[in-house]
Amino acid sequence: MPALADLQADVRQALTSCDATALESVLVGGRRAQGRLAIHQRHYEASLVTALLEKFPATAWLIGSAAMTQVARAFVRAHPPGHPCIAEYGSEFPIFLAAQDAEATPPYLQQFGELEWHVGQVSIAISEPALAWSQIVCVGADALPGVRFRLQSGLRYVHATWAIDDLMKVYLTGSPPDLFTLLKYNSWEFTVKLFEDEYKVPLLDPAVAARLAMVQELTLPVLLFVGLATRAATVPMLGMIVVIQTFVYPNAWIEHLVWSSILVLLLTRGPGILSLDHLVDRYFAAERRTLGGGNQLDSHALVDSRRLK
Amino acid sequence: MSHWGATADASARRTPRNAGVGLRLPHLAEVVATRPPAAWFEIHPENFLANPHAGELLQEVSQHYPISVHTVGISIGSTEGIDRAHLARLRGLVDAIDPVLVSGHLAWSTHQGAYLNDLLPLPYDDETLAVVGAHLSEVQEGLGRPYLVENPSSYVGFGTSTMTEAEFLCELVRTTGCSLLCDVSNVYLSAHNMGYDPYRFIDALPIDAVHELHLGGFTSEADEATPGGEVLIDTHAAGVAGPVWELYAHAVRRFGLQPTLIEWDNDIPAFSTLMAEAVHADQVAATTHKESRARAG
Repeated sequence: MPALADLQADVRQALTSCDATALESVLVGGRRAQGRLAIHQRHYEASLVTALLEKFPATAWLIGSAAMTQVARAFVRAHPPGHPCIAEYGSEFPIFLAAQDAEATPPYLQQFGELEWHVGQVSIAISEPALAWSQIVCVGADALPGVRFRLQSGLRYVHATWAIDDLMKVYLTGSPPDLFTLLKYNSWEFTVKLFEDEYKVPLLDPAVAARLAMVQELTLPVLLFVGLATRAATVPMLGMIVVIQTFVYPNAWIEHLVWSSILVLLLTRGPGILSLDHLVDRYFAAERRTLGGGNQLDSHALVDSRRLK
Repeated sequence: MSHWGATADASARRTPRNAGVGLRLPHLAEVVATRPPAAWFEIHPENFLANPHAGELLQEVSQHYPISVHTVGISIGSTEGIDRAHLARLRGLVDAIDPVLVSGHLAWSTHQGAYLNDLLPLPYDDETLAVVGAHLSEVQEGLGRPYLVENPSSYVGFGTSTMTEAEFLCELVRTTGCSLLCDVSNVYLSAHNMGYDPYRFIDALPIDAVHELHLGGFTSEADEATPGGEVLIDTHAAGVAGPVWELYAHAVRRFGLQPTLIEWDNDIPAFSTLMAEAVHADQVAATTHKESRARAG
């Protein structure tokens, strides 16, 4: 192997692991040249740590700049950049950060770091003019299978299980509320928050409304599916649709109309033969027949007697 | 509003003789909006390649000013070779803005896929000469234009060197026919750090090969290698120091009026401060040039 390659391997080692023993005999500069190599070590580390701190200010705000600097230092040693455009360096930092001292790390830290990474990338992206319908309709039918749509380069989809966007908003607005609770998506608190912020149902307390809606949405469809107390089950469902139509999503009236038409049909005509209600009916009818089997006059008996005539 | 691909100002194509300034991201929007009377700009392409928004603004700047592309990411001295992907990206940028000069450093920064984000020193011997020479041809071919090689800022060297830095640069020019970018501040601080005479360094460089000069600020700090001594760090975080202006005058005497750049990359001041440094460089160059012509005439 040529000497220059060995030398460069040793210098790289010295920079990323601060171990310069292999270079002791070859360095010149000052009386103790290793001290000079420290300048390059510092440049390597400081420039990249600074780059990471500039790229993840919200993450630094979250965990404190001392902890952030420490992890950034470890990261630049373990993961040197793969190419010279430092603006692209650091996409793996959030994973690395979350893996450090995993027990002490908040469970949402990685997702928050990833969100911040994407926010940074989006901030330097250029949005191209949106495609107009007129440009799409003029594509011939035979060319359609070959058509590929490209999303805006400034568009990112970030999947998160925590409401880290709310946390990011707190950072970006710079005015933290007195009390902030970070919610986990799919959690009960998040459902209540939806009723508070998004649905804004009047009169009812959001927590009550959420519980009411949850109980109804979980039980009534089951009743409708098996056809048990069908007519009774449609009434609260229709009530809920009326509330949503009136107070929450007035524009979604087409869906509401479709749902209501089915429910109204069930309400007025009953569930039909494929239902538990039908079995119940039959059971009680048979019961009544047995009970009224003597001389008592009931409708069935009437029919029977007519037939006998 | 200018259109992409619109005809550039005629002045944007001429190689400038006056001093230009390094265009850094914090000044980009201001330059696009106010069009200051700068003679030309030099950019680090790595700051623009990964930043589409900045790239778009640069395109606009390049319609009105001569641009010089000064890369920090082409690791011309790495034994493992040139990063072809980066070279291709650079070619794209160079084709888009058609710079008047393209340059980079006599240094290395990549090793086995890792980019070490610093300009690292090379031993000056025949092997390095062969490596740098081969890569230089590859870069010039890849970019389709000449690539000026800049003398590095040195803090540490190698006992295995068989040539001085100036001798190495002379050999490089002789074997490859390349041009040089003489960073006067680097000459000054490297001479201080490594213990040689900066004037003799300038005098040793081939007179016709130097086609650009750089001036930047350095920072002095305690030298870990020499107790009680100080080492000069090429921070580009200050104005040009007095002794460097004197050395610059010497460089103008030797190389004539060459496009000179004011570099300021850290603790970046107001744009007007950079312009004032450029004006000062022009004054020093003009006075020196007049004097030396009078002496010659």
